Amino acid sequence: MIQFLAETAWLVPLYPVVGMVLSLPWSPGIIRRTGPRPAGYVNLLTTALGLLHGVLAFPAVWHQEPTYLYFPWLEVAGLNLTIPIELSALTIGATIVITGLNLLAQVYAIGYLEMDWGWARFFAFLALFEAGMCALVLCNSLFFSYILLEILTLGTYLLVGFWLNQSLVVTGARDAFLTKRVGDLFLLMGVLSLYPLAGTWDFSQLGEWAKTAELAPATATLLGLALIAGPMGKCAQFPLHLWLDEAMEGPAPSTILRNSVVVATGAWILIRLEPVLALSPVALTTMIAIGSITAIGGSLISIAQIDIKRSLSYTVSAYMGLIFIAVGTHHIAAALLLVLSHALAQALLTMSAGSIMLNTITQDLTQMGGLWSRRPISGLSFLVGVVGLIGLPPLGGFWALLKLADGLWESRPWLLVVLLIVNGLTAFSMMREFGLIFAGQTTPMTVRSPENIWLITLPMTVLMGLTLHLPLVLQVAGLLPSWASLDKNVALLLLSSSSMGCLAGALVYVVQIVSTPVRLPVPAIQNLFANDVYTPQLYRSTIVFGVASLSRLANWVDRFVIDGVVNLVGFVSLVSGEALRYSTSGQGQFYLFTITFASIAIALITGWTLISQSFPIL
Amino acid sequence: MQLEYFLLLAAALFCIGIYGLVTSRNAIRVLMSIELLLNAVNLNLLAFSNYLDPAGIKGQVFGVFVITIAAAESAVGLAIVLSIYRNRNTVDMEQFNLLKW
Amino acid sequence: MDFTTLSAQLNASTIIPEGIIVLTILVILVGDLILGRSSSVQWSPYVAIAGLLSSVASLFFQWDVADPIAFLGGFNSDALSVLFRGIIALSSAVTVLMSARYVEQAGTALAEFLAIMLTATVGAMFLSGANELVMIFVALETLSISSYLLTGYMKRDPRSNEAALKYLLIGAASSAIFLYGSSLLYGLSSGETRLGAIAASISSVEDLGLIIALVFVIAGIAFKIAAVPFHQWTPDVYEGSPTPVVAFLSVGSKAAGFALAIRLLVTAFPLVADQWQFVLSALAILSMVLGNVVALAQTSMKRMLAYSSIGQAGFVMIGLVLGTEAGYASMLFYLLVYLFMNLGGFTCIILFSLNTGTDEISEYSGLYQKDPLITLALSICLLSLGGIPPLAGFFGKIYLFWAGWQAGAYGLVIIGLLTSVVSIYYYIRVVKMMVVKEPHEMSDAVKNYPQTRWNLPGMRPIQVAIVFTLVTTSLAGILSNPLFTLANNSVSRTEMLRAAIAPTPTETVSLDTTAQ
Repeated sequence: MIQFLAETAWLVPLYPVVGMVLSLPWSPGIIRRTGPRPAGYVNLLTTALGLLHGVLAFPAVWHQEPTYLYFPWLEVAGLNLTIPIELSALTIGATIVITGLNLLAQVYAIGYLEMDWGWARFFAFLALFEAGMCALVLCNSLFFSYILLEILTLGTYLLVGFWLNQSLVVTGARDAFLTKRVGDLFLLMGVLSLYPLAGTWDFSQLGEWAKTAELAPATATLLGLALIAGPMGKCAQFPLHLWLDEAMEGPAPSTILRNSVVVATGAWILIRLEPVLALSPVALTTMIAIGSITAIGGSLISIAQIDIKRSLSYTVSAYMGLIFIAVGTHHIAAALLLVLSHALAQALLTMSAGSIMLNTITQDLTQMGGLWSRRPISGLSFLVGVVGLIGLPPLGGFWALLKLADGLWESRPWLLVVLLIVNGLTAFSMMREFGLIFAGQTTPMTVRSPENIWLITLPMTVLMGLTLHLPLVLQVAGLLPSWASLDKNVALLLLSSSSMGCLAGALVYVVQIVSTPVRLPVPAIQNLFANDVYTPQLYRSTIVFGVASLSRLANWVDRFVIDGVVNLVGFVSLVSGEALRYSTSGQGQFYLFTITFASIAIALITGWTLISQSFPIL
Repeated sequence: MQLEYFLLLAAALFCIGIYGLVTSRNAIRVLMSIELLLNAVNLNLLAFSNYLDPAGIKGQVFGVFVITIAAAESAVGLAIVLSIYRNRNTVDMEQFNLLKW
Repeated sequence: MDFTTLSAQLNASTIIPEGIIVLTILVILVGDLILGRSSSVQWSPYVAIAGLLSSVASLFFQWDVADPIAFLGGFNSDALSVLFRGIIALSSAVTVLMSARYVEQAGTALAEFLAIMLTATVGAMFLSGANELVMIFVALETLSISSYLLTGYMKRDPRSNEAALKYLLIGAASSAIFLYGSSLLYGLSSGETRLGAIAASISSVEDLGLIIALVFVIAGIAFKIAAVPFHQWTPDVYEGSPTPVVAFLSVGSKAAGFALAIRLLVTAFPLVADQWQFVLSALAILSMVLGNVVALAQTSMKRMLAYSSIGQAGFVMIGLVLGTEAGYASMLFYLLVYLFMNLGGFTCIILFSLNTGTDEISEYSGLYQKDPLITLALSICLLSLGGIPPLAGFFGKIYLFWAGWQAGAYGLVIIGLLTSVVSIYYYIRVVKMMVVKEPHEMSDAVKNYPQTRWNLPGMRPIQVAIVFTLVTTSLAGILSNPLFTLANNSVSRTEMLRAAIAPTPTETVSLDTTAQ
C-alpha cells in the first residue's frame, strides 16, 4: 500500500487542482444560495488529502534512491518534451512542507477572511499556488520548472491583487508581476540557450553534464547570469526585491505562504541548478555579491520599517540572500536546511503578525504596544518564531546557520562576517518588532485586542509546536550536523551575534519603555535605573543612530533610484506609444507616401553595393 | 526600337502614377493614378513579351489579366467613392480622416 | 479529348476544396434569390459552414497526393499549401459563425455578405498554392477586391466607407507595386512566369533589377501581412470595418500573405536569400517594436487588436526569416494557435458590441459581474495572445523563440522576448479592466448590460464560436503534440522547402530523455 502511494506521489499536485476546479461554481454570479464558504471547505479537504498522501508515501522513499517517472508529452522534429518526475525523500518531503503549511494557512484563512466575499476566488488562488509549488518540487526538468514559475508569477499577481479595490494593492500586484516577469525573461533566455549546449533539461542529467562540460568562459558566464536572474526575481533579491515589499498589501493568509515557501521556490531552482552555475566563477561571485548586498541591505531596511508586515518581508529577502550565499559557496545541504527552518519560522512570525493585525486594526508598529498581557499566545508564537529564525540554540535556525557558518569559516571567512552581521541585525530587528508590539504601554489602538478565534489561534499554535520540534525531527532524521565535527568557535560566534542583537533590541525597545514609568522612593536606586535607561540612550545615540541612518539611506535609494528606474522604463514605453500613434495621421495619401518612401529606402539600402558600383561618383 | 526605351517609358509612367496617387485631392483622380500604375505594368509586360518571349507571349496573356482585373478594381473603387459621396457629400481626400490615431 | 482525360492531365483534383467552396457560393446566391432575403439568416450561415468544413475535410485527402503540381505548374498542392488552405478555410468558418448575427443586426443582406466572404476565402486559398505569377496576381486580387467590398459593407456608415476607400487605394497601389516587381521578374528571367523556372533562368546576382523586383514584391507582401512600415492602413481599416471582417483580415488574409511570402521568396529568390532575409528581419523588428508599443496607447479595442496583430505578425516573421525547418514549422504552428486565440478574442468583442454597441476599452470595466462567459473567454484569449503559460500562445511563442535561438538569430529573439513583455501589459490591462473593478466602478455600458438572448437567430453560432475557441485556446497548448506534428510534417513533406533548407548540424544533438 505504501509502495503504491509512493509510486503515485506525482498525484499530489493534482489534488489542489481538483480543489480549484471544484471551487469554480462558487465564484460570484453562479451559486448565490449557499454563500461562498463551501469552496473553502472543499479546498481544505483536497489539501488535507494531498498532505496525507505525501505523509503516507514518505516512509517508502526514505533512505531510498530517487526514482524517476516520465510522462511523454510532446515530440516534434527537434524537440522532445517529456515531463520527468523525481520521487525522492527530498521532493516528497518538500511537498509535505508545502501542503502542510498550506493546510495551516487555509485554516487560518477561514478565520481571517470571516467577512470576505471572495472565498472561492481566494481559495482557488491558494490551490493554484499549492499545485504549482508541489509540481515544481516534483518536477525534474528545468523547462517545466520555468513554466511552473510563470504560473506561480501569475498566481502571485492574482493573490496580491485579491483586495482589488485599493489602489496600492493594484500597483503592488502589477509590480510583483512585472518584476518577476523581468527575472523570468532572463531565465527563459538561459533555459533556451542551455538546451543546445547540454542537450537536456533534466536537472539530474544537467548535473552529470556539468561535471564534464567545457564551456567558453564568456558563454558560461552569460548562461549562469541568465539562470540566476529568475531566482533573483522570485527570491526578491536586489535589485528585483521591491515587489515583495509591495506584495504585503495582499491578505495575510497568502502572505504566510509567500513569505515562507513561495519565495523559496526561487531558492529551490537555484539549488537544483547549482552544478550548472558552478561552471562559471563569475556567476558564483555575482550570486554571492547579490546575496550579501540583499542580506545586509534587507536586514537594515527591516529595522527602518514601521509596517509590521513589511518589516518581516525584508527579513525574508535577507534570508534568501543568505541562501544565495550558501548556494554560491556550494553549501547545498546548509541551503536546504536554511530553506526549511526559515519557512517554518517565517510562517509562524507572519501568522502571529497577521493575528495581531486582524483585531488591532492597524499595521503601524509605532501605534502598538503593551499587547503581551492581552495576547500571550501570539506573543509566545512571535518569540518562538524569532528564536527559530535567528541563530539561537536549540531551534532550527541555529543549526542551519551553524552548518552554513561552519562551511564558510573554512573557505571564505569574510562571508562568515556577513552572516554574523545579518544574523545580529535580524535579531535586533525582530526584537525591535517584538518590543514595539508587545512591550510597553497600551495605546488607543491596542486597548481592545483579545486573542482571536480558534481558527486563527490553532494553526498558529500548531505551527509553533512544529517550529519547536523541528530540531527533534531533524535529529531523528539524522539531518542535524553532528556537534562533534563542528567548530565550537563558530557556534560561539553565531550565538554571541544573535544574543548581542537580541540584547540590544531588547534593551532599546523592551526594557526602556518598561522602566521609564517606574518611580522608586530612593533616589539612588532611581539613579541606578536611570543609568539603566542611560545605556539604551547611549545605544540610541551611537549604534542605533548609525544603523538607522544607514537604513534610511538604503530605503531612500530603494524608493527613488531603483523604483524610479523601473517606473522610467514603463513611462518611456507609454510615452513613445502615445507619440508614435500620431504617425497614423488618418490621411490615406500619407500612408501611400510612407509605402513608396519605405520601398525606395529599402531598395537603396539593399542594393547599395550595386548602386555604388554603377555610379562610382557616389 | 530598343527594349530599354519601353522600360524607361513604363518607369516614367509608374513614377507619374505614384506622384498623382500621393498628391491628388480628388478621389477619382487617385483612382485614375492607380490605372496609370497598372498601365505602366502592362507596358512593361508587353515589351518583355515582344522582345524576350515572342514564342510564348505569356506577357501578353498576363496583360489581358491585368486589364480585366483593373476594370474590376476600378468598378469597386467607383462604387465605394459613390457611397462615400452619398454619406459625406464630398470626394476630397483630405476630408476622409474620421479614422485616425 | 473528353472532360475526364483533360482533368486528369491538368491534375484538377487538387482544387476540389476550392471547387466545393465555389459551389457553396453558388448555392447561397441562388438560394437567396429563390427563398428571399428575409429567411436567409435561417439557413445561409449553416450552408456556408458546411461548405467550408467539407472543404477542410477534402483538404485532408490532399495531404498525401503523389503529384502535387497541377494546371501545368500553375498551382502547387504540396503539404505546405494544404496546411495554409486549411488554416484559411477554418478561420473563414469561425468568421462565418460570428458574422451571422452581426450582419443581421446591422440590417444588411447576409447572403451577399457570405458570398463575398467565401470569394475572399477562395482567393486566399488559391493564393496559398499559387505557383505562377499570373495565378498569384489573380488570386491576390480575388482576395483583395472581395476584402474591399467586405470592408465597406456597412454602406450607410461613413466610417466603414472611409475604411473601404483607404483600404482600396492603398491595396490597389500596393498590388500595382507588387505587379511591377513581377513584371520585372518576368523580364529578368527572359519570359518565364512559373516560380521555379524563374529561379532557374536568373543567373546573375549582381543585378539591380533583381533587387528592385525583390523590394517591390516584398512591399506587396508586407502590405498584406501589415508589417511596419507598410502597416499604417491597418488600424484605420480595422477600426472602420465590420468586426467579423476584421477577424478575417487579421487571420485568414494574413495567413494567405504568409503563404505567398514563403512560396514566392523561397522559390523565386534563392539567389538573393541573404537580402530578403535581412529586409524581412528589419521589418520583423520594426513590427514587433512599433506594433506592441503603440498598442499601449490605444483606447479602442479594435484599434488595439490591430496594433497587436501587427506585433504578432512580427513574431511570425521571425520564423520566416530563419530559413530552417524548425523556423517554418514554428511559424505554421504559431499561425494555427493564433487563429484560435485571435478569432476567440474577436468573437467576444462582437458579442459585447452587439449587446452594448461600443468598442471602447474603458467600457469593458466591471464586465465580470454581468457576463462571466465573455469575460472568461476574452481573458483567456488575450492572455494567450500575450503568451502566458499554459495557454496555446505560450507554446507558439516558445517554439518560435526556440527555433530562432537555435538558428542563431539572438537579436530577433531578444527583441521578441522584450516586446512580448510589453504586449502582456496591454493585454492584461483589458483583463484587469473586466475583472478587477468594484460594482460601483462599472461603465455605463456594463450597467445597462442586457441579458444575452441566445435564442435570437444567429446567436447560437456565436456561442459555439466562443466555446470552441475558448476550449482550443486553453487546451491546444497542453495537448499541442498533434499540432506540432502537423506543422512539422507539412514542412518536411514540402519539396520546395526541403531544397531550400540548408542541412543544419545543430539538429543532431541527442534530445532523447526517455532512453535511460
